[in-house]
Amino acid sequence: MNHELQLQPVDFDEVGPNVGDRFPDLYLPDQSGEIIDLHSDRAGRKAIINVHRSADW
Amino acid sequence: MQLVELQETVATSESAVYALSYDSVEVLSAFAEEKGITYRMLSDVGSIAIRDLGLLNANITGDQEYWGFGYRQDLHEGLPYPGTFVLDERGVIIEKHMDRDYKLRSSGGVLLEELGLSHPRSSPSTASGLGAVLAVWTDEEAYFPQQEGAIRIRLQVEDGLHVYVPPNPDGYINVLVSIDAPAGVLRGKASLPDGHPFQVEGLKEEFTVAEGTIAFDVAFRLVEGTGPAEVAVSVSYQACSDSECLVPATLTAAVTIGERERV
Repeated sequence: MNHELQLQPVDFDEVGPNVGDRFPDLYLPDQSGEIIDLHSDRAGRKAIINVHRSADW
Repeated sequence: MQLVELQETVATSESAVYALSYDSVEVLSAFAEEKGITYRMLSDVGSIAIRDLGLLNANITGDQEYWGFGYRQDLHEGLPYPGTFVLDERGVIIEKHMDRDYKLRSSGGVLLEELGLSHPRSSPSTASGLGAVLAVWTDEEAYFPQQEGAIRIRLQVEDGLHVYVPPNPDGYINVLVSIDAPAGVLRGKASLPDGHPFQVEGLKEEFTVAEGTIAFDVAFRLVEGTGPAEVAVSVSYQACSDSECLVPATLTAAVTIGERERV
């Protein structure tokens, strides 16, 4: 590794929605191809949303 | 523990689990079938939602260079910063955890604790001393390399006593956590417990104290090949009542953090 390289700092308050915000509406297909409306699918339940790189690698 | 292993605990009538990536429905479908995943994996082809949410990692070429990996447009274009959002019943974000490195994923135990759900964890190791008992455990018994885990540290102060937590004037012994661990256990800072103001009658100075169970959490990751790692947690404190103080003390309890092989 070249030690002169530096990771560019990231301010995660500027990345994505923050604590206290309502999570934005999402309409996306799930693994069965069904279009999911996140908030209506939650149906008033708490939720974990995990954002990650490809499931495939 | 990974998300798939806790789906039955978490995805209940009270809470739901979603994963979001740029994979196609076909890729997700094959992956879910292979791994037995029943929670919803959302397909954001072209990373349109990832961009709209503001989660796109725009520094990915620089990051790859830093880590000594090449950039591959087919893999790295549209990558989000990895992270987890916990929503309350109204859909409001109550926890947000983002990682700099897309290669990282939080442990299932950390996610469960964020939801306030119980789950298997390592047995607490305890030590008792003047006016307090120390308990230390990890949220899981073993971790994959680079998975984020948590060391839970609890100092239970006897009824009628308090301890000092920052900020306090010089000369007062604040609770101090120190951790002795192999170099391959990469650690965050211990979280500071909340104290409240306290004043002794006749004294002008105001102090910050805490009673009951005082909680510290330390995030960590294992470098591959580190586990099982012995981690000794020491907590120094001085317990006092409203009128007198016990001798300052240090309690030490050790936990072993296991390492899981990558699958």
